Amino acid sequence: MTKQEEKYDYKYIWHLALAQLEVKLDNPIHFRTWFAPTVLTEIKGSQATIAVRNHYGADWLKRKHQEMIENTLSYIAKKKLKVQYLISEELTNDAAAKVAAKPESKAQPRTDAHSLLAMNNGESDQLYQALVKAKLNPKLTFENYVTGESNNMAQAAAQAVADNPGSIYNPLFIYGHTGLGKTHIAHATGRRILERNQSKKIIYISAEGFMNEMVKAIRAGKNIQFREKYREAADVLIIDDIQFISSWEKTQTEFFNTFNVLQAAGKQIIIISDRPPDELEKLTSRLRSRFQGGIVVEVGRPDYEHRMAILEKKLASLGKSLDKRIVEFIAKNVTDNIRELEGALQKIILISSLQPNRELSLEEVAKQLGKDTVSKRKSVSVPYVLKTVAKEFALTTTDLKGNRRTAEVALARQICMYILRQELNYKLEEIARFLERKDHTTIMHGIEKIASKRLTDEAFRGQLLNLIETVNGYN
Amino acid sequence: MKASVTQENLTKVLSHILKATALKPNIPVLANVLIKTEKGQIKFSATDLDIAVTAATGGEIGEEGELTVNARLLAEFVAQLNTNRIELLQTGQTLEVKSVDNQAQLYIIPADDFPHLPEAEKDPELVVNAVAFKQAVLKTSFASALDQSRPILTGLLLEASQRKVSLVGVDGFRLSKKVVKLEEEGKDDYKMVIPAKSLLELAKIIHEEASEKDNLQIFWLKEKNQVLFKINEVTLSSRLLEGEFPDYKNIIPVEKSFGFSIPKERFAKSVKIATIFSRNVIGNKTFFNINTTDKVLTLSAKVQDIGNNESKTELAEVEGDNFETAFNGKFLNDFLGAISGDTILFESNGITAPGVFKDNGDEDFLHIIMPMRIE
Repeated sequence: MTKQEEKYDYKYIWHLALAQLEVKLDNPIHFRTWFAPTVLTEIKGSQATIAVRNHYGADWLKRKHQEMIENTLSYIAKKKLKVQYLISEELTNDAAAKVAAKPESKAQPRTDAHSLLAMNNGESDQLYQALVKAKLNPKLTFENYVTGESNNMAQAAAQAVADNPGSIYNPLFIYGHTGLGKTHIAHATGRRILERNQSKKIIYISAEGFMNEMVKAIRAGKNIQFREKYREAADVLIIDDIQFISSWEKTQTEFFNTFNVLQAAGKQIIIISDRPPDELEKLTSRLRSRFQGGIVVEVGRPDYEHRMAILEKKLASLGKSLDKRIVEFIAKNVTDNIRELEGALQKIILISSLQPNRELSLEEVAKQLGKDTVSKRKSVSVPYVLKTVAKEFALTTTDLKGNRRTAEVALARQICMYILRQELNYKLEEIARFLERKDHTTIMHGIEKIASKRLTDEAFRGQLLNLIETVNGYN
Repeated sequence: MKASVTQENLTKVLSHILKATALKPNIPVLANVLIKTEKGQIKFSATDLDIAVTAATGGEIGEEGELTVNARLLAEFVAQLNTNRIELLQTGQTLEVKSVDNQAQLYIIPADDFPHLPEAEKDPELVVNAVAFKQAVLKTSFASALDQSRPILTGLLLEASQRKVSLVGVDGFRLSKKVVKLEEEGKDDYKMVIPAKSLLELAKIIHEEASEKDNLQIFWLKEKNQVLFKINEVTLSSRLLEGEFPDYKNIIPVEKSFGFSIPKERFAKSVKIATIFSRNVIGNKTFFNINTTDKVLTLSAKVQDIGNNESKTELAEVEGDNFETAFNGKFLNDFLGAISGDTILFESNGITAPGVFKDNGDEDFLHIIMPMRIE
């Protein structure tokens, strides 16, 4: 038998260690400066390696806190560890970004004088006016946009565009399902451009608004003014919900011409859509190829960590706090989109504020969010699960319930067992009945098989998660 | 600690270390200067964790010691004193700073709370004339990127072989490269990317500190990911940038099909005039029209609905056919501000190919600007 290498979840261990160290240190400023932007990168034998941002961090932790760090880490890893440091900005970038993203705990400046510009959240009045004029929502900024794996491409592209409008990616085409933050990115991009230069003229409009305005202009005989507004006066044109343009041919022509004029003049165009350009039906091919000419980025569905980060940021901005378990529960169960996620959070905050003297239980939260077993079973039926899984494997429900035991049929059957158990929480005996198996041990075996395959087989894991999402009605 | 220093020396070392003092530090001690007696000298250090500066000066040391006090207050106070001799005296938790008729008390944060600064351990990796290196920084740093969208481009690439060292700055639209010869033969090839900001602070220190013949020692503290520069009694250390610097050598054209030379003064004047209009256009677009038969360069700019201008300059030498392209006027001005010679050489390989600008007074300098689209 080969000796197994010890496996650690470094991220988790260090998360726990930092939490303890923060308490022991009892100095938030020092914690943020020296401890927070660090990453545990390896435990090998009795040697742990911690990545720090620079030479100063390594020196400081070693000189001042070596014993405390070693003791804490040893305690959590349940073995005696020595700690060494590795200087790497790259490895610690994420951790450092997290520190920077935390709202500054700035003390209110002590002054008796009234500030001239105190309105509008302290933004300069000019910027505020410029934002309002451009129809940009002042609340949507890059600073409060939480990035994760699913959207960091889009965010990076948008920032690059904001820094060099008209020259890098033109057009910037952002697509994704509703409620995932496409509009947020577009507004933030416009805002950043205005922050740099308030004389830039930004036009934000939906495809529908564009068409309405065009029709109105034609009717009033003001075609020329309409063209001037979009083709000459705009430095940046942000057009939302472009998918609707597919059905209006005349609007497409007008937009095509506007697009060409703007692009030739080096003006930035930002397009938002619910699907990529090649899936926009009825779009003329010349417009389609224009859309693909810059950069096309997707805003995807956030993963669990990302959802946690969003919730935490939202809580911080609302100045509220919730039991960590509840936040985790929301992040785990509300997976569809960010709008719904924030809605769920607001709902729970409201409910808990109505009962200030009592902590909400997870069961109550689940019930409120319709994520408890009863609501879930109501929305996802067993036949639907079987049908969905069978379809994925090009089988029929009868195959699943039958006696064939080829590898494929067996796997599909086991996936059904797994989903019915994990997602819908049915009893083993019940699952056996649904699938017309003899006893619950078969079911138990099947579920275990899938659980272990899920851990070891990356491709399978993707397929399974996809299936679960489909079953839950997200795809 | 008890020590006396001349006002002149103290003012000078404090002005050096202020360059590394954090303006609004997260941790209070970073607003401080570390003062330490060491080997008969008094050493002053400051850091903002990006760069660190240490400067030493001689003085009379009555009692050894080390402590930190607020750097800015000390520097401003000392600079105003009208005296020759200044005494530094630690009494309990304060440092007393005294001249004949003025005195101040500064509260001490213990030296142990101050970060340890990187130090040169062995011999320097590179030795180069300080003033020449300063010029290389000034001729290249303006071409490095200011925004953080690609952090590596905010740095200058330092590349050294046995006999020479080059600095290269690139921001995606232009490139500036300057080669300086080494004063002592280097031991190996070196390559690192240093934040342009740090190098500009170094240039200021060299400007204040170095005379024509002074050498600058460069130490590469690889495992600390730091570089350290030493000139006389002053050292500046900086973090290095991590990541892959673009392979700039591919950008530098080897062939040319167009070229001309032009007196710098006249070209500069012409650019300046064109800029009056071009700065109102996106990208400061300035058109270049080269008429090879008449040997005339016409710079022009036009602002939609407002107006346009044109400025002609006679060319000294011309090569190739008539030619029209456009450049960012601001980039041209930046380049003109950095060069020392009296004639500029321009080379290009076509209207969309990089424009190469050279300085007849400095053959180790090369500047490239990407043309803009003309429609």
